Amino acid sequence: MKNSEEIILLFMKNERQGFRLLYASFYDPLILFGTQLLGDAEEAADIVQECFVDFWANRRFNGLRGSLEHYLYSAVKHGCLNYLRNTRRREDKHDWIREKLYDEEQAIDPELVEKLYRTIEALPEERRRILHMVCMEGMKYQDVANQLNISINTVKTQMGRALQFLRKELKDDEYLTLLFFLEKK
Amino acid sequence: MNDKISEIIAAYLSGEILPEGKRQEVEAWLRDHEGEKEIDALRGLFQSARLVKQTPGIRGEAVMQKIEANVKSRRVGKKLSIRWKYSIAATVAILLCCVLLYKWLGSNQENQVIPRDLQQGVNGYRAHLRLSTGEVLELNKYDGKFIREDSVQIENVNSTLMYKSMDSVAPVRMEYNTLVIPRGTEYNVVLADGTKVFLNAGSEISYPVVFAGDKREVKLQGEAYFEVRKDERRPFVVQAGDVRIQVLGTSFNVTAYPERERIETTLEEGKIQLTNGKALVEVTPGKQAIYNKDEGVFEIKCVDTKLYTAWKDGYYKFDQMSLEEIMETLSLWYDLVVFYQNQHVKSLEFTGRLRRYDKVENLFEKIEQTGLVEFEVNGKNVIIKEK
Repeated sequence: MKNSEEIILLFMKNERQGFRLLYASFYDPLILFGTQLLGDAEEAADIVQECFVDFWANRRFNGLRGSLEHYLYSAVKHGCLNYLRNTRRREDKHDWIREKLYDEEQAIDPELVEKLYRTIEALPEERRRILHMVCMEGMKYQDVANQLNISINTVKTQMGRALQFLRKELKDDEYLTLLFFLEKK
Repeated sequence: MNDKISEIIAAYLSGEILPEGKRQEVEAWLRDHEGEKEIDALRGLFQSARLVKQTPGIRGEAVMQKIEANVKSRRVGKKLSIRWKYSIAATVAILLCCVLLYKWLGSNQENQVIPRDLQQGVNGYRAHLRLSTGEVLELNKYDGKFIREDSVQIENVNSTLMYKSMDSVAPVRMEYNTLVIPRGTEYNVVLADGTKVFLNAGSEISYPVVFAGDKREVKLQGEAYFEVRKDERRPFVVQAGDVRIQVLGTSFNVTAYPERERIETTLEEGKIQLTNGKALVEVTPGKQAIYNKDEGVFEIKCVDTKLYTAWKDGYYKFDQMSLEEIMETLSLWYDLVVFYQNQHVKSLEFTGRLRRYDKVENLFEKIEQTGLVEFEVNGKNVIIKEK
Protein backbone atom coordinates (compact mmCIF):
# COMPACT_ATOMS: atom_id res chain seq x y z
CA MET A 1 0.00 0.00 0.00
CA LYS A 2 0.76 3.68 -0.19
CA ASN A 3 4.50 4.46 -0.01
CA SER A 4 4.88 2.60 3.25
CA GLU A 5 7.88 0.51 2.36
CA GLU A 6 9.47 3.41 0.58
CA ILE A 7 9.09 5.56 3.69
CA ILE A 8 10.81 3.01 5.89
CA LEU A 9 13.63 2.44 3.41
CA LEU A 10 14.12 6.16 2.98
CA PHE A 11 14.19 6.66 6.75
CA MET A 12 17.03 4.18 6.98
CA LYS A 13 19.00 5.94 4.27
CA ASN A 14 18.20 9.56 4.97
CA GLU A 15 15.99 10.30 7.95
CA ARG A 16 15.06 13.78 6.86
CA GLN A 17 13.81 12.66 3.48
CA GLY A 18 12.02 9.74 5.06
CA PHE A 19 10.24 12.13 7.37
CA ARG A 20 9.22 14.40 4.50
CA LEU A 21 7.63 11.49 2.68
CA LEU A 22 5.97 10.26 5.86
CA TYR A 23 4.52 13.70 6.41
CA ALA A 24 3.31 14.04 2.83
CA SER A 25 1.69 10.63 2.89
CA PHE A 26 0.14 10.41 6.32
CA TYR A 27 -0.06 13.72 8.13
CA ASP A 28 -3.35 15.00 6.67
CA PRO A 29 -5.28 11.73 6.86
CA LEU A 30 -4.10 11.20 10.42
CA ILE A 31 -5.20 14.59 11.70
CA LEU A 32 -8.51 14.08 9.98
CA PHE A 33 -8.81 10.73 11.74
CA GLY A 34 -7.91 12.27 15.10
CA THR A 35 -10.30 15.16 14.56
CA GLN A 36 -13.16 12.77 13.91
CA LEU A 37 -12.41 10.98 17.18
CA LEU A 38 -11.89 14.11 19.26
CA GLY A 39 -14.09 16.68 17.62
CA ASP A 40 -11.16 19.10 17.92
CA ALA A 41 -8.60 19.66 15.17
CA GLU A 42 -5.99 21.40 17.30
CA GLU A 43 -5.80 18.63 19.86
CA ALA A 44 -5.74 16.07 17.08
CA ALA A 45 -2.82 17.85 15.41
CA ASP A 46 -0.91 17.88 18.70
CA ILE A 47 -1.39 14.15 19.08
CA VAL A 48 -0.35 13.38 15.50
CA GLN A 49 2.72 15.61 15.80
CA GLU A 50 3.74 13.92 19.01
CA CYS A 51 3.31 10.56 17.29
CA PHE A 52 5.61 11.68 14.44
CA VAL A 53 8.21 13.08 16.82
CA ASP A 54 8.20 9.83 18.75
CA PHE A 55 8.40 7.77 15.57
CA TRP A 56 11.43 9.65 14.35
CA ALA A 57 13.28 10.46 17.58
CA ASN A 58 13.04 6.88 18.83
CA ARG A 59 13.68 5.36 15.41
CA ARG A 60 10.53 3.29 15.46
CA PHE A 61 11.12 2.49 11.78
CA ASN A 62 13.73 0.01 12.92
CA GLY A 63 12.08 -3.30 13.61
CA LEU A 64 8.51 -2.17 13.07
CA ARG A 65 6.17 -5.04 13.73
CA GLY A 66 3.27 -5.08 11.32
CA SER A 67 2.60 -2.41 8.71
CA LEU A 68 3.41 1.26 8.99
CA GLU A 69 -0.24 2.27 8.49
CA HIS A 70 -1.31 -0.02 11.22
CA TYR A 71 1.30 1.39 13.55
CA LEU A 72 0.42 5.02 12.82
CA TYR A 73 -3.33 4.63 13.04
CA SER A 74 -3.09 2.67 16.28
CA ALA A 75 -0.74 5.21 17.81
CA VAL A 76 -3.02 8.12 16.97
CA LYS A 77 -6.12 6.23 18.06
CA HIS A 78 -4.59 5.40 21.41
CA GLY A 79 -3.36 8.94 21.81
CA CYS A 80 -6.88 10.25 21.22
CA LEU A 81 -8.63 7.75 23.46
CA ASN A 82 -6.17 8.38 26.26
CA TYR A 83 -6.69 12.05 25.86
CA LEU A 84 -10.46 11.70 26.09
CA ARG A 85 -10.28 9.35 29.01
CA ASN A 86 -7.94 11.50 31.02
CA THR A 87 -8.75 15.13 30.43
CA ARG A 88 -10.85 16.67 33.03
CA ARG A 89 -11.49 20.24 32.15
CA ARG A 90 -13.36 22.90 33.91
CA GLU A 91 -15.03 24.05 30.75
CA ASP A 92 -15.30 20.70 29.15
CA LYS A 93 -15.80 21.17 25.48
CA HIS A 94 -15.24 17.48 24.91
CA ASP A 95 -18.21 16.46 26.99
CA TRP A 96 -20.42 15.86 24.02
CA ILE A 97 -17.91 13.75 22.18
CA ARG A 98 -17.11 11.71 25.26
CA GLU A 99 -20.82 11.13 25.80
CA LYS A 100 -20.99 9.92 22.25
CA LEU A 101 -18.02 7.66 22.72
CA TYR A 102 -19.41 5.98 25.76
CA ASP A 103 -23.11 6.16 25.11
CA GLU A 104 -24.02 2.74 23.72
CA GLU A 105 -26.94 4.02 21.67
CA GLN A 106 -25.15 6.38 19.30
CA ALA A 107 -21.58 5.50 20.05
CA ILE A 108 -18.72 6.68 17.86
CA ASP A 109 -16.91 3.45 17.32
CA PRO A 110 -13.16 4.18 17.18
CA GLU A 111 -12.53 0.87 15.42
CA LEU A 112 -15.07 1.73 12.76
CA VAL A 113 -13.58 5.18 12.25
CA GLU A 114 -10.11 3.66 12.00
CA LYS A 115 -11.43 1.20 9.46
CA LEU A 116 -12.91 4.11 7.49
CA TYR A 117 -9.56 5.85 7.20
CA ARG A 118 -7.64 2.72 6.39
CA THR A 119 -10.19 1.94 3.71
CA ILE A 120 -9.64 5.40 2.27
CA GLU A 121 -5.94 4.57 2.07
CA ALA A 122 -6.89 1.49 0.10
CA LEU A 123 -8.96 3.34 -2.52
CA PRO A 124 -7.61 3.38 -6.06
CA GLU A 125 -5.13 6.23 -6.43
CA GLU A 126 -7.25 8.58 -8.53
CA ARG A 127 -10.33 8.13 -6.40
CA ARG A 128 -8.36 8.73 -3.23
CA ARG A 129 -6.78 11.84 -4.69
CA ILE A 130 -10.15 13.29 -5.65
CA LEU A 131 -11.63 12.51 -2.25
CA HIS A 132 -8.64 14.18 -0.64
CA MET A 133 -8.92 17.29 -2.77
CA VAL A 134 -12.62 17.67 -2.10
CA CYS A 135 -12.42 16.77 1.56
CA MET A 136 -9.10 18.05 2.86
CA GLU A 137 -8.50 20.92 0.49
CA GLY A 138 -12.19 21.83 0.41
CA MET A 139 -12.11 22.20 -3.36
CA LYS A 140 -15.26 22.49 -5.42
CA TYR A 141 -15.92 19.72 -7.96
CA GLN A 142 -15.32 22.15 -10.82
CA ASP A 143 -11.89 23.15 -9.48
CA VAL A 144 -10.88 19.53 -9.00
CA ALA A 145 -11.93 18.79 -12.57
CA ASN A 146 -9.92 21.74 -13.88
CA GLN A 147 -6.82 20.85 -11.95
CA LEU A 148 -6.81 17.17 -12.87
CA ASN A 149 -7.94 17.94 -16.39
CA ILE A 150 -10.95 15.65 -16.22
CA SER A 151 -14.66 16.33 -16.63
CA ILE A 152 -16.81 17.39 -13.71
CA ASN A 153 -18.90 14.28 -14.34
CA THR A 154 -15.88 12.09 -13.66
CA VAL A 155 -15.38 13.86 -10.35
CA LYS A 156 -19.04 13.27 -9.53
CA THR A 157 -18.87 9.58 -10.42
CA GLN A 158 -15.60 9.01 -8.60
CA MET A 159 -16.87 10.68 -5.44
CA GLY A 160 -20.07 8.63 -5.63
CA ARG A 161 -18.12 5.42 -6.04
CA ALA A 162 -15.72 6.29 -3.26
CA LEU A 163 -18.63 6.87 -0.91
CA GLN A 164 -20.41 3.70 -1.97
CA PHE A 165 -17.26 1.65 -1.57
CA LEU A 166 -16.51 3.08 1.87
CA ARG A 167 -20.02 2.46 3.06
CA LYS A 168 -20.01 -1.10 1.79
CA GLU A 169 -16.68 -1.85 3.42
CA LEU A 170 -17.79 -0.44 6.75
CA LYS A 171 -21.08 -2.28 6.58
CA ASP A 172 -19.52 -5.61 5.62
CA ASP A 173 -17.26 -5.25 8.55
CA GLU A 174 -20.22 -4.90 10.85
CA TYR A 175 -21.86 -8.00 9.45
CA LEU A 176 -18.65 -9.89 9.95
CA THR A 177 -18.35 -8.97 13.58
CA LEU A 178 -21.98 -9.81 14.09
CA LEU A 179 -21.58 -13.26 12.50
CA PHE A 180 -18.51 -13.89 14.51
CA PHE A 181 -20.33 -12.93 17.62
CA LEU A 182 -23.23 -15.27 16.89
CA GLU A 183 -20.91 -18.15 16.16
CA LYS A 184 -19.09 -17.68 19.40
CA LYS A 185 -22.35 -17.97 21.28
CA MET B 1 -27.19 2.37 -2.07
CA ASN B 2 -27.07 2.61 -5.85
CA ASP B 3 -24.76 4.68 -8.02
CA LYS B 4 -27.16 7.56 -8.48
CA ILE B 5 -27.97 8.18 -4.83
CA SER B 6 -24.31 7.70 -3.84
CA GLU B 7 -23.34 10.47 -6.21
CA ILE B 8 -25.94 12.83 -4.86
CA ILE B 9 -25.04 12.06 -1.27
CA ALA B 10 -21.34 12.56 -1.97
CA ALA B 11 -22.06 15.91 -3.59
CA TYR B 12 -24.31 16.91 -0.73
CA LEU B 13 -21.73 16.04 1.92
CA SER B 14 -19.04 17.82 -0.10
CA GLY B 15 -21.04 21.02 0.02
CA GLU B 16 -21.77 21.16 -3.72
CA ILE B 17 -24.84 23.16 -4.65
CA LEU B 18 -27.72 20.83 -5.53
CA PRO B 19 -31.06 21.52 -7.20
CA GLU B 20 -33.87 21.73 -4.68
CA GLY B 21 -35.43 18.38 -5.63
CA LYS B 22 -32.19 16.47 -5.28
CA ARG B 23 -31.38 18.12 -2.00
CA GLN B 24 -34.71 16.97 -0.59
CA GLU B 25 -34.05 13.49 -1.89
CA VAL B 26 -30.73 13.30 -0.04
CA GLU B 27 -32.13 14.71 3.13
CA ALA B 28 -34.96 12.19 3.06
CA TRP B 29 -32.48 9.37 2.44
CA LEU B 30 -30.25 10.50 5.28
CA ARG B 31 -33.27 10.73 7.58
CA ASP B 32 -34.23 7.17 6.68
CA HIS B 33 -30.75 5.95 7.50
CA GLU B 34 -30.35 7.95 10.66
CA GLY B 35 -28.44 6.13 13.37
CA GLU B 36 -26.61 3.84 10.96
CA LYS B 37 -23.06 3.84 12.17
CA GLU B 38 -21.35 3.77 8.81
CA ILE B 39 -23.39 6.70 7.56
CA ASP B 40 -22.56 8.62 10.73
CA ALA B 41 -18.89 7.80 10.25
CA LEU B 42 -18.94 9.06 6.67
CA ARG B 43 -20.74 12.22 7.68
CA GLY B 44 -18.17 12.69 10.42
CA LEU B 45 -15.43 12.48 7.80
CA PHE B 46 -16.75 15.50 5.93
CA GLN B 47 -17.49 17.44 9.10
CA SER B 48 -14.02 16.79 10.48
CA ALA B 49 -12.45 17.86 7.19
CA ARG B 50 -14.26 21.17 7.54
CA LEU B 51 -13.02 21.52 11.10
CA VAL B 52 -9.42 20.80 10.07
CA LYS B 53 -9.60 23.37 7.29
CA GLN B 54 -10.94 26.03 9.64
CA THR B 55 -8.11 25.52 12.12
CA PRO B 56 -5.10 27.49 10.94
CA GLY B 57 -1.51 26.64 11.76
CA ILE B 58 -1.88 22.89 12.15
CA ARG B 59 -0.58 21.92 8.71
CA GLY B 60 2.23 22.91 6.42
CA GLU B 61 5.92 23.66 6.36
CA ALA B 62 6.02 25.30 9.80
CA VAL B 63 4.60 22.14 11.37
CA MET B 64 7.23 20.00 9.65
CA GLN B 65 9.97 22.24 10.97
CA LYS B 66 8.52 22.09 14.46
CA ILE B 67 8.54 18.30 14.39
CA GLU B 68 12.14 18.28 13.14
CA ALA B 69 13.20 20.67 15.88
CA ASN B 70 11.52 18.54 18.54
CA VAL B 71 13.23 15.43 17.29
CA LYS B 72 16.58 17.20 17.36
CA SER B 73 16.13 18.47 20.88
CA ARG B 74 15.25 15.01 22.14
CA ARG B 75 18.23 13.50 20.45
CA VAL B 76 20.63 16.16 21.72
CA GLY B 77 19.47 15.47 25.22
CA LYS B 78 20.08 11.77 24.76
CA LYS B 79 23.59 12.19 23.46
CA LEU B 80 24.52 14.41 26.36
CA SER B 81 23.21 11.93 28.82
CA ILE B 82 25.31 9.17 27.30
CA ARG B 83 28.40 11.29 27.56
CA TRP B 84 27.56 12.05 31.14
CA LYS B 85 27.34 8.44 31.97
CA TYR B 86 31.13 8.31 31.69
CA SER B 87 31.66 10.50 34.67
CA ILE B 88 30.62 7.68 36.91
CA ALA B 89 32.71 8.64 39.88
CA ALA B 90 31.19 12.07 40.11
CA THR B 91 27.72 10.72 39.63
CA VAL B 92 28.10 8.13 42.33
CA ALA B 93 29.34 10.74 44.77
CA ILE B 94 26.45 13.05 44.02
CA LEU B 95 24.01 10.18 44.17
CA LEU B 96 25.23 9.34 47.61
CA CYS B 97 24.68 12.91 48.72
CA CYS B 98 21.23 12.81 47.21
CA VAL B 99 20.29 9.64 49.01
CA LEU B 100 21.41 11.15 52.30
CA LEU B 101 19.61 14.39 51.62
CA TYR B 102 16.54 12.48 50.61
CA LYS B 103 16.57 10.36 53.73
CA TRP B 104 17.09 13.40 55.88
CA LEU B 105 14.38 15.46 54.22
CA GLY B 106 11.95 12.62 53.93
CA SER B 107 12.33 11.30 57.44
CA ASN B 108 9.19 12.88 58.73
CA GLN B 109 7.18 12.81 55.54
CA GLU B 110 4.67 10.17 54.65
CA ASN B 111 5.38 8.54 51.36
CA GLN B 112 2.05 9.10 49.73
CA VAL B 113 0.40 9.95 46.48
CA ILE B 114 -0.45 13.61 46.31
CA PRO B 115 -4.17 13.92 45.75
CA ARG B 116 -5.57 16.52 43.46
CA ASP B 117 -8.66 18.23 44.67
CA LEU B 118 -9.54 21.51 43.07
CA GLN B 119 -11.55 22.93 45.90
CA GLN B 120 -9.19 22.00 48.58
CA GLY B 121 -5.79 22.03 46.99
CA VAL B 122 -2.98 19.89 48.28
CA ASN B 123 -2.24 19.65 51.96
CA GLY B 124 -5.53 21.29 52.80
CA TYR B 125 -4.61 24.71 51.45
CA ARG B 126 -7.68 26.63 50.46
CA ALA B 127 -8.49 29.68 48.45
CA HIS B 128 -9.76 32.51 50.58
CA LEU B 129 -11.30 35.91 50.12
CA ARG B 130 -10.49 39.02 52.13
CA LEU B 131 -13.43 41.41 52.24
CA SER B 132 -13.16 45.17 52.49
CA THR B 133 -14.01 44.88 56.18
CA GLY B 134 -10.89 42.80 56.71
CA GLU B 135 -12.91 39.66 57.29
CA VAL B 136 -11.37 36.53 55.73
CA LEU B 137 -13.62 33.82 54.28
CA GLU B 138 -12.51 30.29 53.45
CA LEU B 139 -14.22 29.86 50.13
CA ASN B 140 -14.88 26.14 50.28
CA LYS B 141 -17.18 26.76 53.23
CA TYR B 142 -19.29 28.99 51.04
CA ASP B 143 -19.44 26.70 48.05
CA GLY B 144 -22.65 27.17 46.09
CA LYS B 145 -23.64 30.14 48.24
CA PHE B 146 -23.93 33.87 47.93
CA ILE B 147 -21.69 36.24 49.80
CA ARG B 148 -22.93 39.81 50.29
CA GLU B 149 -20.69 42.84 50.27
CA ASP B 150 -22.88 45.92 50.60
CA SER B 151 -24.47 46.54 47.25
CA VAL B 152 -22.87 43.53 45.61
CA GLN B 153 -23.81 39.91 45.43
CA ILE B 154 -20.91 37.47 45.13
CA GLU B 155 -21.78 34.02 43.87
CA ASN B 156 -19.35 31.22 44.69
CA VAL B 157 -19.87 28.18 42.45
CA ASN B 158 -17.46 25.69 40.85
CA SER B 159 -14.32 27.44 42.04
CA THR B 160 -15.56 30.69 40.52
CA LEU B 161 -16.49 33.92 42.23
CA MET B 162 -18.97 36.07 40.37
CA TYR B 163 -19.61 39.69 41.26
CA LYS B 164 -23.00 41.18 40.50
CA SER B 165 -23.75 44.76 41.31
CA MET B 166 -27.24 45.31 42.75
CA ASP B 167 -27.09 49.10 42.45
CA SER B 168 -27.10 50.91 39.16
CA VAL B 169 -25.31 53.89 40.70
CA ALA B 170 -21.56 53.64 41.04
CA PRO B 171 -20.39 53.85 44.65
CA VAL B 172 -18.65 56.94 46.00
CA ARG B 173 -15.96 55.05 47.88
CA MET B 174 -14.32 52.02 46.34
CA GLU B 175 -14.31 48.84 48.39
CA TYR B 176 -11.58 46.31 47.64
CA ASN B 177 -11.63 42.54 47.88
CA THR B 178 -8.55 40.34 47.76
CA LEU B 179 -8.63 36.77 46.52
CA VAL B 180 -5.74 34.62 47.74
CA ILE B 181 -4.92 31.36 45.94
CA PRO B 182 -2.39 29.20 47.77
CA ARG B 183 -0.04 26.81 46.01
CA GLY B 184 -1.71 23.68 44.74
CA THR B 185 -5.06 25.25 43.96
CA GLU B 186 -6.72 27.60 41.48
CA TYR B 187 -9.77 29.83 41.24
CA ASN B 188 -11.63 32.04 38.79
CA VAL B 189 -13.28 35.36 39.34
CA VAL B 190 -15.74 37.27 37.19
CA LEU B 191 -15.44 40.94 38.14
CA ALA B 192 -18.32 43.39 38.33
CA ASP B 193 -17.63 44.61 34.76
CA GLY B 194 -17.81 41.08 33.33
CA THR B 195 -14.04 40.63 33.01
CA LYS B 196 -13.02 37.03 33.60
CA VAL B 197 -9.82 36.22 35.49
CA PHE B 198 -8.34 32.71 35.79
CA LEU B 199 -5.95 32.59 38.72
CA ASN B 200 -3.13 30.12 38.89
CA ALA B 201 -1.63 28.55 42.00
CA GLY B 202 0.23 30.80 44.41
CA SER B 203 -1.42 34.04 43.31
CA GLU B 204 -3.20 36.99 44.80
CA ILE B 205 -5.45 39.59 43.20
CA SER B 206 -7.07 42.74 44.61
CA TYR B 207 -9.90 44.49 42.86
CA PRO B 208 -12.71 46.92 43.59
CA VAL B 209 -16.01 45.23 44.34
CA VAL B 210 -17.60 47.64 41.88
CA PHE B 211 -15.56 49.70 39.45
CA ALA B 212 -15.93 53.46 39.66
CA GLY B 213 -14.25 56.37 37.94
CA ASP B 214 -12.62 56.33 34.52
CA LYS B 215 -10.37 53.31 35.07
CA ARG B 216 -10.79 49.68 36.02
CA GLU B 217 -7.76 48.84 38.08
CA VAL B 218 -6.64 45.58 39.71
CA LYS B 219 -3.45 44.45 41.41
CA LEU B 220 -1.87 41.07 40.77
CA GLN B 221 0.84 38.91 42.30
CA GLY B 222 1.49 35.53 40.71
CA GLU B 223 -0.11 34.32 37.50
CA ALA B 224 -3.45 35.07 35.92
CA TYR B 225 -5.14 34.91 32.55
CA PHE B 226 -7.44 37.85 31.82
CA GLU B 227 -10.37 38.05 29.44
CA VAL B 228 -11.16 41.72 29.70
CA ARG B 229 -14.65 42.92 28.88
CA LYS B 230 -14.42 45.64 26.27
CA ASP B 231 -15.14 49.16 27.46
CA GLU B 232 -13.65 51.94 25.34
CA ARG B 233 -14.35 54.60 27.95
CA ARG B 234 -12.78 52.83 30.90
CA PRO B 235 -9.40 51.19 30.28
CA PHE B 236 -8.56 48.11 32.32
CA VAL B 237 -5.29 48.31 34.23
CA VAL B 238 -3.33 45.48 35.83
CA GLN B 239 -0.61 46.53 38.24
CA ALA B 240 1.87 43.65 38.53
CA GLY B 241 4.93 44.63 40.54
CA ASP B 242 6.51 47.62 38.80
CA VAL B 243 4.68 46.91 35.60
CA ARG B 244 1.43 48.59 34.66
CA ILE B 245 -0.53 46.90 31.91
CA GLN B 246 -3.25 48.93 30.25
CA VAL B 247 -5.88 47.48 27.91
CA LEU B 248 -9.28 48.20 26.47
CA GLY B 249 -10.59 44.71 25.89
CA THR B 250 -8.39 41.70 25.16
CA SER B 251 -7.17 38.32 26.40
CA PHE B 252 -3.72 38.00 27.92
CA ASN B 253 -1.68 36.15 30.49
CA VAL B 254 0.45 37.75 33.20
CA THR B 255 3.11 35.90 35.18
CA ALA B 256 4.43 38.02 38.02
CA TYR B 257 5.60 35.88 40.91
CA PRO B 258 7.50 38.06 43.36
CA GLU B 259 10.35 35.55 43.70
CA ARG B 260 11.05 35.43 39.96
CA GLU B 261 13.25 37.92 38.14
CA ARG B 262 10.89 38.48 35.26
CA ILE B 263 7.34 39.60 34.71
CA GLU B 264 5.92 38.10 31.55
CA THR B 265 2.86 39.37 29.73
CA THR B 266 1.61 37.27 26.83
CA LEU B 267 -1.03 38.61 24.50
CA GLU B 268 -3.53 36.41 22.70
CA GLU B 269 -5.92 39.02 21.34
CA GLY B 270 -6.30 42.78 21.06
CA LYS B 271 -3.66 45.32 22.04
CA ILE B 272 -2.02 46.23 25.32
CA GLN B 273 0.32 48.89 26.63
CA LEU B 274 2.90 48.29 29.32
CA THR B 275 4.88 50.75 31.34
CA ASN B 276 7.12 50.76 34.38
CA GLY B 277 6.72 54.51 34.80
CA LYS B 278 9.70 55.23 32.53
CA ALA B 279 9.58 53.10 29.44
CA LEU B 280 6.39 52.38 27.52
CA VAL B 281 5.90 49.46 25.14
CA GLU B 282 3.02 48.22 23.04
CA VAL B 283 2.33 44.56 22.49
CA THR B 284 0.43 42.94 19.63
CA PRO B 285 -1.13 39.45 19.56
CA GLY B 286 1.23 36.47 19.56
CA LYS B 287 3.92 38.49 21.34
CA GLN B 288 5.23 38.47 24.85
CA ALA B 289 6.67 41.36 26.83
CA ILE B 290 9.30 40.31 29.33
CA TYR B 291 10.17 42.77 32.02
CA ASN B 292 13.48 42.29 33.76
CA LYS B 293 13.05 43.53 37.32
CA ASP B 294 16.73 44.15 38.01
CA GLU B 295 17.48 46.05 34.85
CA GLY B 296 14.06 47.68 34.56
CA VAL B 297 13.80 47.02 30.84
CA PHE B 298 11.22 45.42 28.56
CA GLU B 299 11.97 42.91 25.87
CA ILE B 300 9.40 41.85 23.26
CA LYS B 301 9.46 38.48 21.55
CA CYS B 302 7.25 36.32 19.37
CA VAL B 303 5.94 33.25 21.17
CA ASP B 304 3.53 30.38 20.83
CA THR B 305 0.97 31.84 23.24
CA LYS B 306 -0.41 28.39 24.04
CA LEU B 307 2.77 27.67 25.96
CA TYR B 308 1.80 30.40 28.40
CA THR B 309 -1.97 30.09 28.49
CA ALA B 310 -2.60 26.34 28.28
CA TRP B 311 -2.68 26.04 32.07
CA LYS B 312 -6.11 27.65 32.19
CA ASP B 313 -7.46 24.95 29.87
CA GLY B 314 -6.17 22.19 32.06
CA TYR B 315 -2.83 21.30 30.55
CA TYR B 316 0.76 22.43 30.34
CA LYS B 317 2.60 22.77 27.10
CA PHE B 318 6.37 22.92 26.99
CA ASP B 319 8.50 23.62 23.97
CA GLN B 320 12.19 22.97 24.50
CA MET B 321 11.94 24.27 27.99
CA SER B 322 14.56 23.55 30.63
CA LEU B 323 13.65 21.12 33.37
CA GLU B 324 14.22 23.87 35.89
CA GLU B 325 11.57 26.08 34.27
CA ILE B 326 9.18 23.15 33.94
CA MET B 327 9.59 22.21 37.58
CA GLU B 328 9.12 25.83 38.64
CA THR B 329 5.66 25.68 37.10
CA LEU B 330 4.79 22.22 38.35
CA SER B 331 5.96 22.85 41.89
CA LEU B 332 3.48 25.69 42.28
CA TRP B 333 0.60 23.57 41.17
CA TYR B 334 1.56 20.42 43.02
CA ASP B 335 3.21 22.23 45.91
CA LEU B 336 6.55 20.50 45.62
CA VAL B 337 10.08 21.21 46.75
CA VAL B 338 12.50 20.21 44.02
CA PHE B 339 16.13 19.13 44.34
CA TYR B 340 18.43 18.50 41.43
CA GLN B 341 21.25 16.02 41.31
CA ASN B 342 23.42 18.55 39.51
CA GLN B 343 23.35 21.71 37.41
CA HIS B 344 23.22 19.76 34.21
CA VAL B 345 19.91 18.11 35.05
CA LYS B 346 18.36 21.54 35.43
CA SER B 347 19.31 22.50 31.92
CA LEU B 348 17.97 19.42 30.13
CA GLU B 349 15.29 20.51 27.72
CA PHE B 350 11.94 18.88 27.15
CA THR B 351 9.06 19.32 24.77
CA GLY B 352 5.57 18.01 25.25
CA ARG B 353 2.29 18.44 26.99
CA LEU B 354 1.13 17.36 30.40
CA ARG B 355 -2.33 17.23 31.81
CA ARG B 356 -2.72 19.49 34.76
CA TYR B 357 -5.25 17.40 36.63
CA ASP B 358 -3.20 14.27 36.41
CA LYS B 359 -1.54 12.78 39.42
CA VAL B 360 1.92 14.22 39.67
CA GLU B 361 3.43 10.73 39.46
CA ASN B 362 1.94 10.29 36.00
CA LEU B 363 3.55 13.50 34.83
CA PHE B 364 6.90 12.41 36.17
CA GLU B 365 6.49 9.07 34.50
CA LYS B 366 5.97 10.84 31.18
CA ILE B 367 9.15 12.84 31.59
CA GLU B 368 11.00 9.71 32.71
CA GLN B 369 9.97 7.97 29.50
CA THR B 370 12.50 10.08 27.65
CA GLY B 371 15.12 8.00 29.43
CA LEU B 372 17.03 11.09 30.53
CA VAL B 373 16.04 11.56 34.13
CA GLU B 374 14.57 9.80 37.09
CA PHE B 375 12.29 11.22 39.78
CA GLU B 376 12.23 10.27 43.38
CA VAL B 377 9.21 11.49 45.28
CA ASN B 378 8.98 11.55 48.99
CA GLY B 379 5.97 13.49 50.19
CA LYS B 380 6.48 17.05 49.00
CA ASN B 381 10.13 16.56 48.14
CA VAL B 382 11.23 15.59 44.69
CA ILE B 383 14.75 14.66 43.72
CA ILE B 384 15.62 14.63 40.07
CA LYS B 385 18.52 12.50 38.96
CA GLU B 386 20.18 11.94 35.69
CA LYS B 387 19.91 8.47 34.21
